[in-house]
Amino acid sequence: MTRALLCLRRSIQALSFCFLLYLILQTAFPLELKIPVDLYLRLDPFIGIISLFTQKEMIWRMLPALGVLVLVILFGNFFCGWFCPMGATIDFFDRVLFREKKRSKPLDDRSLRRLRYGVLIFALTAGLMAFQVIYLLDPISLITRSMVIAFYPPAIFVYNHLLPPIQSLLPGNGLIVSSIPLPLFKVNLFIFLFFVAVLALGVIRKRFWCRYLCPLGTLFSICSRFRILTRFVTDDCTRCQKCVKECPVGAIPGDTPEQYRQQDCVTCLKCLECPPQAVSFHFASPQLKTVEGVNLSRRYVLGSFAFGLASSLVIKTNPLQSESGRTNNRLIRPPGSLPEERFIAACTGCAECLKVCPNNALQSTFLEAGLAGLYTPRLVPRIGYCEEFCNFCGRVCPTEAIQPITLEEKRLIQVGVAHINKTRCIAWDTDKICLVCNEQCSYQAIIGDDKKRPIVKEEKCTGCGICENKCPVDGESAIIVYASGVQKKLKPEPEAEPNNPQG
Amino acid sequence: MMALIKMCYEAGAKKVAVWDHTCDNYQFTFARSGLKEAGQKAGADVLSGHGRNVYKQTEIPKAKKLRTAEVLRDVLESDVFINFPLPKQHFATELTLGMKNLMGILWDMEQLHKIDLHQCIADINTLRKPDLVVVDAIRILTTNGPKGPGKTEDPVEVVASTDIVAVDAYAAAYFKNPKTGKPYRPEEIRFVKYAYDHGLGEIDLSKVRVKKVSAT
Repeated sequence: MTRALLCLRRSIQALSFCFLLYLILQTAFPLELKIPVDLYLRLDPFIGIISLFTQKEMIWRMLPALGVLVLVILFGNFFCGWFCPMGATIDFFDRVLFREKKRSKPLDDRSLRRLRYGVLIFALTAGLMAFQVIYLLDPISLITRSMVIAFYPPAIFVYNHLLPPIQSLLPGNGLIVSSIPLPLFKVNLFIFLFFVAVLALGVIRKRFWCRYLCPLGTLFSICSRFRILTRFVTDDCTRCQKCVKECPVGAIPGDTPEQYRQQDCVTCLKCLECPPQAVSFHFASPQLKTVEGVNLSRRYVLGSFAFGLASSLVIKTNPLQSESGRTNNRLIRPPGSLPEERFIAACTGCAECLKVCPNNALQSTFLEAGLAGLYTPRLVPRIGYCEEFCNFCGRVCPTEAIQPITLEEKRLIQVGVAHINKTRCIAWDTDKICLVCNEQCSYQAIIGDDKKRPIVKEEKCTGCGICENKCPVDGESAIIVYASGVQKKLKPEPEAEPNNPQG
Repeated sequence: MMALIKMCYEAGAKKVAVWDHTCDNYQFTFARSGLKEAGQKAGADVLSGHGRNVYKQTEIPKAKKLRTAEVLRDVLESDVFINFPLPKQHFATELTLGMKNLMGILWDMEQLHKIDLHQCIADINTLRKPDLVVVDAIRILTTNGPKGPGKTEDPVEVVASTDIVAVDAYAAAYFKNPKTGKPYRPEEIRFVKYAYDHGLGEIDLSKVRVKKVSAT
């Protein structure tokens, strides 16, 4: 029975992780899945609360997160132990690669256990100050981002290299498949290293990340204090310390194993593997008392609060974040994005939009958008352009930092304007015929003059960047899109003139 | 196109592959134009040339400027190769016709603009003469080409021939030269002229037997 339960938990963890991968892979054309592909992010109450704080309004997409929160308040924290894909990954690597170091003396972690509360207070304060870098620590956002940016491109790379040998093995033209254009993302190494670092912390303590840092886990901890599904230990307990050692979050104190810290417990049920079978879980009235709780002194709480406040203020006064210093006109946000200041407050950096973008046009920033804009999406036309009949990025954004807009609206949003560098342009600089930009432009914003040299019509240009992308000039394009500051709405085309065969 | 695929099968084809190398993202264009659905309904494989692995580095021996290029492998290796263009106005080269349509068999289309677009188009056509050229001139785009949206005209004609130069010479006359106001003469489209110089076909329509058949 116990074994079966533990197997069930492990299978659910594996399934949950695979389901996340499946959803990430489905975050692509044609985007017709019945369930939202950003389901996990929408179920994340930490993102829900912080986005409520930063945007000062309810985001209806995040409503399911409240449901999860209510369940956790009732039954205690089951999410981390059973469903969290990040927790599943950490559990897996704790078993196979980053084994916990053996210690002669148990680690006194009371000060460490306080850390996550500090992180959460910091996060909430910073959230109120509309500064969201703390989203980067959210486990769901973290694993989605790592999978998309650090692991998806290598997977495609391997697939593309395996494709020719497989094709040659099959007789005749058995399989004609174009390789998938390799997705490329900036800052992938940083994201990869951070992900590995989080996993490697398991060497110090099992589930180090979950028990000492994860802000979502802390939120669940606070909420599951009054859980009704609780752990009971009968008098058969021999104090063999098995459960103390096995508990992945260290919720069972060594000297009193019959008690536990109900707020830290992730309901993984590992302690049920008790030699005298003394442990059981059942429903009971909630208890207030806990053992060896963290010492959240007033000093510590206020300290975290002040630190969060000061950090947000420091970041807000960073030149790139302030009004006067916003000079990066190459920072083009996806169509339908909120105004810059609100955008960086709302974006969780989950990289869903990066994955769904059919042309790999969206890239994650490093410091181009200032410290507060770390890992937010930007359009890099030389890598990919914004597809005309696509509004996917707004449809997958969990916090609506990129607004969901219709295709008609999207085609009239000007994210930037193209400018021609006449000293590099083939048509302007030499007498060759080129006009690739003119033929590629979907909005007829580039016309040719009588010598077949391109001219940009600003009032029609949406800044989609297809001209910059396809420009045959080596290296930097001869036509470059610059952000237009605030995204503008263009005037719609007058109704198409009736066909006139004589004209 | 569906009719063409059906005729291929009737003529004994084992498998028909419809290739398109799109400017925009192929998933969107295939879905919006209905190409994929129509092709598959007629029993063909609709394939997109968005991956480099379906191309092969090839020498073009008769070329004047474009000596090597990465060319769609199926074009080189298939038994029968049919070119199926739609005539469109095109700002840079005046018109998109049969020969310009074959730019799509190259991996790097943009590169041609750096060399010499018209000559390159003629060079590509020296590589393999299409076994059949079918120009779908039921509706043609006369302004804002090649992408549109622009004005269209409906000549309601389908031109079929084995001589690509003659076909292009014929189809050029659908369009009016904005400078002269008269229908384009084939010599005014430089790639048609260059291809004729290569000896790829007959540019003078008076030397070609044009047979008109009514479909109704």
